[in-house]
Amino acid sequence: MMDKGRRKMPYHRRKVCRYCADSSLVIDYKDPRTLRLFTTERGKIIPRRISGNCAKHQRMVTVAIKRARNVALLPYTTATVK
Amino acid sequence: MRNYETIFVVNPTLGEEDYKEVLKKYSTLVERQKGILIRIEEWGVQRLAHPVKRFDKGSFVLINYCGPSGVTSELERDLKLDDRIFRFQSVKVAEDVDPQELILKEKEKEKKKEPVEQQEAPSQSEAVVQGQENQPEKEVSDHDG
Repeated sequence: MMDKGRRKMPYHRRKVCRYCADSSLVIDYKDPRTLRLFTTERGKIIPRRISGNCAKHQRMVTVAIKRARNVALLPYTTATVK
Repeated sequence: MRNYETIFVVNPTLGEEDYKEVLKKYSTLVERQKGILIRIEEWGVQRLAHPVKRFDKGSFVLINYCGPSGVTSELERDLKLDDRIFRFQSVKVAEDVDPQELILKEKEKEKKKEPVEQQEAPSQSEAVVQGQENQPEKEVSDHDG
């Protein structure tokens, strides 16, 4: 058994929401290239705790990704494609 | 008036005439419903991220317009019945806008684009295509489906 008390604190750097940092960025479902940054290779949406987005912008990103999927700009999954 | 945009994916195997007819049909439809067309973007034939109706390519068209609340439902009813159209999606961009202002803005944008066009000579639709899509692909209207 591992010693619980000796567990290292994981290194973590405070991530800043990129949309809060730069207000000129817009979240748009027509722009799959940037939305791809927020999906995994499999096409899943990356959670907020990993992407670092704030709640508001994560919500907007999620909606945008779902819209993009609807018109086939982004994949639902890559399993069928590859 | 509200500002809407509708994006739809057209069958890429359509001939040029049929394709133009589709465009014309929906732009006149908007105007008939007392809507005001702001702009039409043609992205050309692009790869789809997932197959739709067994096609892996589609021709994307985006229309941006202003109108009262009934315009989209009318437009969508027709899009639904049209078998040349694979997918469509309407999004409300803004509420309470002045269509004239948007048209003016659109014109200004075009003016700004013009000098760039003369140097590098990409057409407006191509410039949009390159900015938006993941795999740049030029218009191939006569690809065998």
